[in-house]
This record gives sequence, structure tokens and C-alpha cells, in this order.
Amino acid sequence: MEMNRRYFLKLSGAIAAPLLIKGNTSALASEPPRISAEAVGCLVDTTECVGCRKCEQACNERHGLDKPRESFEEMTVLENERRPDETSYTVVNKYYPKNIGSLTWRNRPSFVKFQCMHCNDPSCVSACIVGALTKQPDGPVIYDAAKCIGCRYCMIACPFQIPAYEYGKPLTPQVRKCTFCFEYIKDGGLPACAQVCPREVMTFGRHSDLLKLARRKMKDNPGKYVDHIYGEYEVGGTSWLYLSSEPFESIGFPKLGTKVPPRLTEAIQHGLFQYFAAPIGLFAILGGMMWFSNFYKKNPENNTSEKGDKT
Amino acid sequence: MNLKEHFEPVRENFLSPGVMVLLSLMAVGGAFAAARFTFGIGKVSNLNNQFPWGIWVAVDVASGVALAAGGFTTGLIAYILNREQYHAVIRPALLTAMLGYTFVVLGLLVDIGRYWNITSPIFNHNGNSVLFEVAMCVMIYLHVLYIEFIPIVVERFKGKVNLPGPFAAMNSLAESGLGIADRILGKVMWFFIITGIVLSCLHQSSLGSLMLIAPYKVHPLWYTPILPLLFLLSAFAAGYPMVTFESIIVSKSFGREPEMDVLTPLAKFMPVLMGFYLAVKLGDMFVRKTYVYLPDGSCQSISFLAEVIFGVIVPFVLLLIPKVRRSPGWLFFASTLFVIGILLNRINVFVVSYTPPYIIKSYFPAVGEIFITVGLIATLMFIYRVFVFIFPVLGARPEKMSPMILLIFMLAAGTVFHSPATAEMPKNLPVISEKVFPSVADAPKLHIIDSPLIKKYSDLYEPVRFMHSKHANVLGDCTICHHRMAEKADDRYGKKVTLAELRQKKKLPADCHSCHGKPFDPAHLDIPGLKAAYHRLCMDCHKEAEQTTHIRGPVTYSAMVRGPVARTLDTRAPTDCLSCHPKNVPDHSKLVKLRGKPDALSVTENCLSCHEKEGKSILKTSHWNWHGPSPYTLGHENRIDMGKATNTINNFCINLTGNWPRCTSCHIGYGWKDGTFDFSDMRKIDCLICHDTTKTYKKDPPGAGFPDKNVDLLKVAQNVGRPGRSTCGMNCHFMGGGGDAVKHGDMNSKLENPDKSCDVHMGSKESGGLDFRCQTCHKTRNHLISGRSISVPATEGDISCEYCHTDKPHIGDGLVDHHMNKHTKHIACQTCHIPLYSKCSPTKIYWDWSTAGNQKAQEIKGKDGMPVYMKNKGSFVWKQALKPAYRWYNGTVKRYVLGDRINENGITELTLPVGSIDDASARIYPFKLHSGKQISDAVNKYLITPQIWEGFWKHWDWNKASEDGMKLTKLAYSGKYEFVETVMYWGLTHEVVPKEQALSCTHCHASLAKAPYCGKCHQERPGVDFKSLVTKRNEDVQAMFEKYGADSSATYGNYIDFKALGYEGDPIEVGGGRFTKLPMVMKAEK
Repeated sequence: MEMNRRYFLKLSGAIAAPLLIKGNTSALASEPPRISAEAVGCLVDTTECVGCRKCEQACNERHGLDKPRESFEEMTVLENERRPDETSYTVVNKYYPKNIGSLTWRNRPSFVKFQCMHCNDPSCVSACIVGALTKQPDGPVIYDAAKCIGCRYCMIACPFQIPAYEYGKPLTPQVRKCTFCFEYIKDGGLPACAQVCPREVMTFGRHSDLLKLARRKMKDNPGKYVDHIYGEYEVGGTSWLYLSSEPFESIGFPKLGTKVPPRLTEAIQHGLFQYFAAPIGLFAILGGMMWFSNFYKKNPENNTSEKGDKT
Repeated sequence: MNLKEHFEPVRENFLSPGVMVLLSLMAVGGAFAAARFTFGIGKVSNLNNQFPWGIWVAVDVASGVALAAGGFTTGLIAYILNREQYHAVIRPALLTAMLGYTFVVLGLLVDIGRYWNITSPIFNHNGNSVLFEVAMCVMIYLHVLYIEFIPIVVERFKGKVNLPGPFAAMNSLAESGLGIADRILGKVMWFFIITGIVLSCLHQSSLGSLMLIAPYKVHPLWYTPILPLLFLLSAFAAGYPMVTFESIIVSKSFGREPEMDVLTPLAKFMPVLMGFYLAVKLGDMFVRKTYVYLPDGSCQSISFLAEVIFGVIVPFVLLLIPKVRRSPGWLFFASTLFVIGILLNRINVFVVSYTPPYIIKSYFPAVGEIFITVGLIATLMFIYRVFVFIFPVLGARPEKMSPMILLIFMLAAGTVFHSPATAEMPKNLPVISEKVFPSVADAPKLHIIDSPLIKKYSDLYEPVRFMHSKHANVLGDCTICHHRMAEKADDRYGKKVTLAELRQKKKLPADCHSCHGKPFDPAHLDIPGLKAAYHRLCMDCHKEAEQTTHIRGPVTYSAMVRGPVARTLDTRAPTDCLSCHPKNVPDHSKLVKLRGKPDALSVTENCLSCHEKEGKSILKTSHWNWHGPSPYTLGHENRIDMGKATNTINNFCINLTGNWPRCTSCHIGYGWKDGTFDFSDMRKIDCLICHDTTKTYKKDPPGAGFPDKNVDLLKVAQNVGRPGRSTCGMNCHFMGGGGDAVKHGDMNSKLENPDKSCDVHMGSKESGGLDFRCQTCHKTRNHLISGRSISVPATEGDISCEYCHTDKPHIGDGLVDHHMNKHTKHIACQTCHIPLYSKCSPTKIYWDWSTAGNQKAQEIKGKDGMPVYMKNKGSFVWKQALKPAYRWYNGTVKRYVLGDRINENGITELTLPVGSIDDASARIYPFKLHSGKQISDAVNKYLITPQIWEGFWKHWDWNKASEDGMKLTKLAYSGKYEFVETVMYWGLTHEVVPKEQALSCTHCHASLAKAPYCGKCHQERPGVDFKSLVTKRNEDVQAMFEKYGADSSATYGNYIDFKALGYEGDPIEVGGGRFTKLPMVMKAEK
């Protein structure tokens, strides 16, 4: 009897473990979303940016966002690192070069525009409980407020910390982030930021062409850029790509691997629920145990249970 | 399985002191919850964009689920393994689970922003989302729990249904429902029990999977692919300690004996499950080698250690001891430790471990969050009590123990500290440019960069007025900009251009738009669009924060620019948007919120409602204050109070004090009618005098700055725009001295729309001029307008011709260019390029106040139609097209300040340019001289400030006017006055003639007008005609002289009186001054 009990306990613990661990294997991994060959993106050459904030202004105006306290001509705001938030889908930050000792070897600060990267395989889209966030075949990751319940799991999931939330609204808060002006580019228009940018810091075009352009820029200007196209492989690739003359970690980019975060969770998820095998299996095992213990109890077990009841 | 008779509702005093505490906590929590639902999550929580999940998720949801694990774990042991001795705890555990999950949902409603849309996941599925699975499982499980609870309801009410009042009719219906439920549920309960366990296994583990989507944000101590397994194992392990914890609390609070006969055997499972959990957790840590993070002292490592040591290891070790398992106190302690350990684990995973890449504001739960959480737990405990009083959940029997312990632990839960990122400030070093060789005489002057290709995409700014020739001159190399040239019509890349090819005119520079077109052309992504091409090219030099020193090295001086100190002229390249192109002024017809006939003050109020900053900046300007710093006034360099408003005087209308209402009709304010005007009151600013575009705004001359009554202020306000020649000029500066062209020798109403020969810069486009507006040169920032006049001491920034034309302005590499560029060290540009002043309109050059009031005639007009006598002002002399006076000028001015002694032996100079031939920073500048006769104190020997407006012009008594006026300026008046001669120097910078009409060599150097011309110093060269070099513009200049009717002194040969300037004669012949090498002929003879 004692042996049986222990055996069952062990068994029940052991049921779940392999199921879950099995999930890590790539065999069960879900397919990444298909990106069409026509998918668009932007290549941001941070060496071109001068921090004029026109992109912020154009974005603000096109999307009818709240006007900021400081005007867009106020350049001192660049001295503090900012993040895109619910009132600004994009921000430009200024990063001073790190000095080695007293030697100022590059004196020009880098300006970096941040906005949603529109990942090829977005964590937020995978995370969203109701599918309010969707990856469009042509690139943009867009948001449908009607489905949203406001759980903010997308914000947890985003490796770039982009989605922002309207904490101040009691009834209809929304998750706000760059839309890639999807309704405009659908009709052949341009994203507001790319359209207004005086220096074409961001080149808007087909993702595949942008990668070629990035490589060409690096080849044509040896030594100008660090040997890395940020967003080419990060978290499975992003629609927005960056070139920089400074190491990306020093200009505000998170160091991310090439692993695609949703692959793991989706593998676990689909591993558990493939044909509902795991839940049904567990149900069957538990049912069997229940039947077995009831059947087993009917004969010699009566006195133990009665003893328990009395005390 | 019939064990119902062992349970019965509790029969005690319901309202114990503990309950009162619960109720008050519920009230506080409820108040915060009300605030959350009224004002939003942001008002009551510290959740932000960096930390979207806080304790509401970690405690209310994740810990709630984990600690409700007692439900399925006891179900597992009691029903699946059919250990009937544990049935005593199954009902409390079930109730805890049911209420626990209910409160998970309530907690969620608080946490999710669009709580009214909580049913959305039922209709909108995302199978990839872990959260979706959790939500579905929790939702179903909650219902399963309710179903599992039905038998208890049935047991309590079956046969006893007695609904109050009107519902009594439904008694039998309810009764039959209970009967059916009883009959059916008994048969299918096994299904719900198993389903409950399966669902629990699924979502308990999946809660752990939630954070797996954020591998770059969750601290490695917790981030492991087996996090879901750990969550499941910990939920298994938490079930029995939670049941024990709760059972002992309940027993104590109802004064019963702890049910040790059940709990002790149950406790045997605890170390097994805890040990298993601990082994997997530590094993995972060693496999992933995350123990390296343990000694780093961060709050994450501390929190992890606390969780593992006190939350798992200590209870595990304790529970291995049989004595502990038998002692209610020790068992409670160990169970509580583990429960807290689980709570801490969930807080750790969801809050402490969450380290986003950018932390602008770190997270610690706000009071509101804590109280809502505490309130929820209190509510849960309260309802638990209600349930055990109503339903047969607990066994039968009755001291008190406060249920507050849990709350205290809640409040002490984990903290998060983060340090904000900081930025470093490096120094900027200037870049030294290299020498380049100029030859760009053919460059077009001005290029207005305006293209529909740009406007189509963004139309924020007015077109750039690109000084093409200036840039060509400075850069000296066309190929810097015109870098490639298309070979064929459709060639977008072209071929590299060399300067040699351009010089030989084999090729002409191509237009930018021949290659650069619309942005992001998919076929040519590497070619920037036109707008980007312009900006990139310009900003290659006009870089942010880098000072480009003058490309051709230092300039020793530039009087108009820097004053007396010789220093490098650094042409700081403009680097911000506004220095190249002004912003488009938005249409104000909708923005102006005025109706009907607004008065002037309400217009300003309306302006300030948007432009408060601008209003503030006006208060600092000399246009507003009429005084300011006087860095260029000799002897008063450090003062900040010099100006018309305070202590200067002139020989036109003499002075302001005492004459306010008339004089201040030129002030950019309303109501400066006496000495009490409040200069800190923005509401008195007259915005329209400068920003009117309708040309209808006029001030009432004696109205102390208020507008004429007939002006339609609404229309003017709705049509505001950038100031221009019609506002700056026509409203004020062309009219200085009370009438057109009275004061300035180089400004008059003709300049509102002059032709090119009148003023090459402002000249209309039709006549070939450049059509500058005032601000093209007088760069303005924050309403501070650069530019200086000798007549006023205040200045807000310098301008000089060199800012655009450089100190080597004569483009070309000929002999004359060479010499003219050398002249720029000694001769101001204006000297040759403004050969005549007041070309276009006569100006006043003499004003005699002594004759005022003498004659009966009100006004006598002269030949040219200008008044030569006015009763109230005296006699005048007007002249047109005059040759300027030439003086050395190093940028500083000697100025007569009120109270200064006059020159008793001659003419008193009210302003006098400082400089001499020996002063290395001085150059020869042209001036208009204005002489006058004005009233002075005959005894004290200083100038008088008479009260003319409402004074002399009323009573015609100089004595009384002087007395009244001097009282206001606080100067003593002896009672005797005289009229003395004074003179003012007025600089000339406007009315620049086209370069073809600038003075030629022979205008000043008579020695060059005769043979051998340049041959005095230079050898004859084939192909070079010396005579034509030195005289080539004489005819053009002469024609201009004739056109404007220049006075007779303007002829070539003796334009400048060298002797008066300190030379012995023409320096070419006699040398002298700075010209140590001259005369060359004489040197050679020596």
C-alpha cells in the first residue's frame, strides 16, 4: 500500500515533467510567421541623424497624439534618454561617445531614433492573449484596440520595450506604439518620419533591398560603421534595421541574441496542446488511478479510512 | 464517500474584532479601487511603461493561483488516491480555491485596463499566447470549482429552501433544482474532480511559461526553460502547506483544536514535494551555472537567496523532523515559511526578476496597489468567514488569533531598486580646415532652394535662400557639391567631376535634381532624395556643435563684427533649422480666438495664450526696453542701462523723457505715456506692429503706442506673419526721426520695394535684386535682433558684410581682385559699395531748433518739396545722393550721455566713431553726418532735455520747456539756455549698389588715373591693360551719380580725403600709415 502511494506520487510528478521539457525541442516549434517578399522596412543610418526631432513632430501630427510640454524645437530634451511612450511613438536620443580616459576621440554625439522595430517574428504578437496585435504580411505590427483587454503582456514580451500604455485613462486605455503608418504605406505612402526626415536618416524600402543597401554602405565606407546591422538577426530579425558608427550597446540598443523568444513559449504551448494529447492523457491517467484506488480500497482499506474519519 | 455529517456551519459571533479590521481594510482597498476605476490605473499605481506588471499580477494573480493549489492537491490525494482521512481538509481547501480563483479574477479586473472587455479572449483566440491558455484554463477551472462546491450548497439548503418575500414562489423550483443537482452531480463529480486537476496542472505550469517570452528581461536566476515545471512543482508543494496554514489559522480564530490528526499525516508529503521542487530548482541552477549571480549583492540575488533559503530549504529541513510535523506551532511555522516562499517566488518571477533594458522610472508598489491587494485579501478572508458561517465547510467545535499575519507578510514583500542611466558630456574640439583655391567668379549669386519635389513631402519651412556665390567663394571648389555629372539623360549616378574640367568650362555643374529626385526610389535606394541630398550636403559642413573656423584662416579684425579687439573672425556656420529657413507661419485666421472689434490689449492677450514664451522673450529685448547693454560705447562698456529710455540724447527730436506719448508711438508696446510704464507686463506688448502683413496697422502718432482707431485689429490679428520691410521699415525704421528718411542716411520708404540699383540686397526680383527681407541679414532669435546702429548703444548681436561675403569677397584671381581683397583689411566694404547715401530719397542733414516758434508760418517747403521750416521744429536742410563722410572706425563709439559737458569751443559730437590710422582694428567707413543746433544749459554747459510735447508746442516758451524737462531727467537747470552746435555720425550699410557701380580704383587714388597706372609697381604684362583695370567702372559709376543727381563733390580722383584720414597723401605715392612697403617706386630708388 505504502509502496503504491509513493509510486503514484512519483508517477504524477513525472507525467508533467517530460511533457514540459519535451517542449524545448525544436521538433514541436511552431512555424514563424511568413514575411512576404514585398515586406517593407526602414534602414536607419544613425550616422546621418542630427537630432532635429522632425520625425517626432511629424509622427505626433500624423497620429494626432498629445502635444508635448516642450516644443519639438526644444533640443535640450535630447540630453535625457527618453523612450517612446503613449504620447510619442518615436523619440530621438543623443548618446555622447564614451571617452577613453581623457581622450575624446570621437567628439560627435550619436543620435538614434527609436520606435517599434516591427519584428519579423514579434513577441508581442505571440504574447497577445486576444490577437489584438498582428504582424501584417508587408511588415507592420499593428494593434486593434477593439480586441484588447489591457493586460499589458505585450509590454512584458517586447524585447525592445516599445509598447506603451495609457495609464491615465480609466475606461479606454490603449496600448500605443508606432504603427509604421501602415494605412499610408498600404497605399504607396511613406511613414511620417521617413517622409519628413531632412536627411533621409531612414531609408524606406523593401526589407531585402535595405539589407543590400546596408551592406553596400558598409562596403563603400570602410571603417565608418561597426560591422553589424542591428535588426538583421536580433530576435529573429526586425523590419527596422540600424547602422551605426558606435557599438550598438553604447547608443542605447539592448544586446539581444538571435534567438526568437516566441519560439520557446510557442513550442511549450503547442507541445502541451498538440491534439490535446497531454491534457487527455493526464485525464486518463488520473481517471485510471482514481478507479484503481477506489477498486483497491473496497476490500482491505475500509478500516484505515474509518479510522481517519473518526479522529 | 458520504462524509457530509462531519461538516456543519460555524455558529459563533460573526463580528469579531478581526472582522472589524478586515472590514476597515476592505473599505480602504475599496476606496483605492474606486479611484482606480474612476481615474485610471496610473492614478493609484506605480505601474509604468517600463514595469507594466506589478504586485497586482505577482500577488493577486500569480500568487493567488499558486496558493489556491490546496484545492487540487487535496483533491488529488483525497479523491484520486482516495485517502479518506484527508476529507476533513478538502472542503476548506475547496472553498479557499474557489474564493482564491474568484479573487484572481477580481484582481485581474483591477489590473487589466479594459476590464469591460474581459470576455474578449472567448471570442478572439490566440493559440500562440500562453496567457490565452492560462485565461481559458482559469476560466474553466473557476467554473469547475463552483460546480465542485454545489454539493455543499445542496447539503446546506436541500429541504430548507425558504426564500424571502416575493421569491417564496420560487421555493419549490429552487428545491427541485437542488434535488436535480444532487442527483446528477453525485454521479459526474469524478469528471469535474479530474478535470480540475488537469486544468490546474496546465495553468499552474503555464503561469511559469508566461515570463519565458521575455528572455532578455527576466533575470537569469529565474529565467529557465523549465520555469513552467518549477511553477507546477512549487504549486504541488504549496498545496499542503497552504491547507495546513489555513486550517491552523481557522482553528485558532474559532478557538478550536488544530486538526493535527489530519495535518500531521498530510505533512509527511510536504518535504517530499518540497524536496523534489528544491532539487529541480537547484539542479537547474547548476546546469545553467546561474549560481555565478548569487554573490553579486544585487536585489535580485538577495531576493533569490531569501526565496530559496527561507522559503524552501528551511521549511524543507524543518518538515523532515517528525517532531515538527506533530507540533501545531512548528508545523504552522514551517508551512507559513513555505507559503511566504512561494509568494516571494511569484513576486520574484513577475516583479523582481523583471529587468527591462531601459529603466527611466523604477518600480515599487504604490500605496494604492498595496491597499487594493490587501483589500482584496481581506475581502477574500471576510467572504471565507461568511461562507463558513453559512455552509457546512468546517468540522464542528470553538480563542482568537488575528488573521493579520498574512497581511503583514504581504506588506513586507519584495522591493526593487534600479539606478537610472546617466549620460556623459564630452568636450567638442574645433576642426581645422584645409586651404583650398578659389576660382568661382561665374557662380550664380543666390539660389532659392524651392522644389515641388520637396514640398510634396514636407512643407514646414520657407525655401532656403542659398548664398550660392558666397559658398562657392568660401569653398573654392565646385566639385564639393557638384560632385557627379550625368553622362546621359537617364543616368542617375553620373561620373565624378574634377575642378579642372569645370575651370576649363568643359563641363557645367549639373543641377542637384538631375540625379536626386523623390525619396526612396526603390530602384535607387542608395541615392538620397532631393531634400536629403541638400540637407546632407549642407550639413556636411554645417555640423552640429562644431565650429568651422574661417576656411581661409584668421582675419585680423572686423570692426562691425567684434569691436576693437583684433581677433579671429570665426564664421560660425549656422547649424539649426531656423538659421537657414524660416518656418512657415500657420494660417492664424482660425487660430485667433477673437470676435467683433477687439481692443489692442485683448489682441495681445490672445497672442500670449499660445505665445507666452515669445512674450517673455520680448521683455528682454532692447526694442521693448529701449535700453540695454552698451559693449561698444567707449567708457560705458560694462553698463546695461544705456539707451533712449534712460540717458542718451540726439539732435533730432532730442530726447524721450517728458515727451513719451509722442515718442513712444514707435515703441513696440501700448501705453508708455509717462515714467511709470511697467516693463514687466507682457500684456502691453504690441505684437501687431511687427507681425502685421496687411499693411493696414498704424499707430496713432501721439497715442503712446496704441493703434489708430480705424485699424481693423481682428483682420490684422488673423493675418499675422513674419516681419518684413513693410513692418520693420515702414512702421518704424524708415521713418526714424518722425518722418520718411529723416534720420538714417541709408534707409527710407523707397526701400519697401526698391530696384536693384537702389539697394542690391533688398532690390526687387524683377529688377534683378535679391529681395532680402530684413531678417535675412538681421538674424533674429528669441526676438533678439542682431545688428547695430551707432546712434543707439544697445545691441543684440553683430552683423557684417563679411558674414556672407567673407573677408576675401572679390571673387576671381585677377590683379584687381587681389588688391581689393587686400583693401578689406583697411577699408570697410561699405566704403566702395555705398558711394552715395540717400540715393533714393532726400534725408535731413541739418536741424536747427533755435528757430522753432519764431515765425508765424507753420511750414515752409523747399525746392524738393521737403519742408525747410516748421514752426514747431525749426529749420532743416535736406539733401539727396550725398557723398559720405569717411572716418576710421574700430567698432566703438564715443557717445554723449546726459549730463556730459558740451564742447564749449566747437561742435559737440553726440556720437563719434572711434579709430585712427594707427589703430590696427579700425577701418575706413562711410558715414552720414547730421548736424544740429539744440538747446543747452548756458551755465551748467550740458544739453537740455526740453519738454516739447504738451510743453513747448503749447506755450512756445523754451525756458519753461527746459525747466519741466530737466525736472523729469533729474538734472539741474540754471534758468539760462543757449543753442549749441551738435553733430551725430550715422553709419551706412543699406543702399548697397550693384558691384558694377562700386567705386573704382581711381575714385580715390588719383595717382592711378594717369600713366603708368598699375605699372608704378607692376611689370607690363601681355594681354593686361592697366588703364582699363583701374578705370573700368568709372563710366558706370558716373552714370549712377547722374541718375541720382549726386552732389558735385562726388567725382573720381579725390573721393577720399587721405590727409584728413591721417595720411600724407595718396598712400600709393607717399606710403604712410600701415603701408610700410609703399610707395614701392621710392623704395626701389633708395
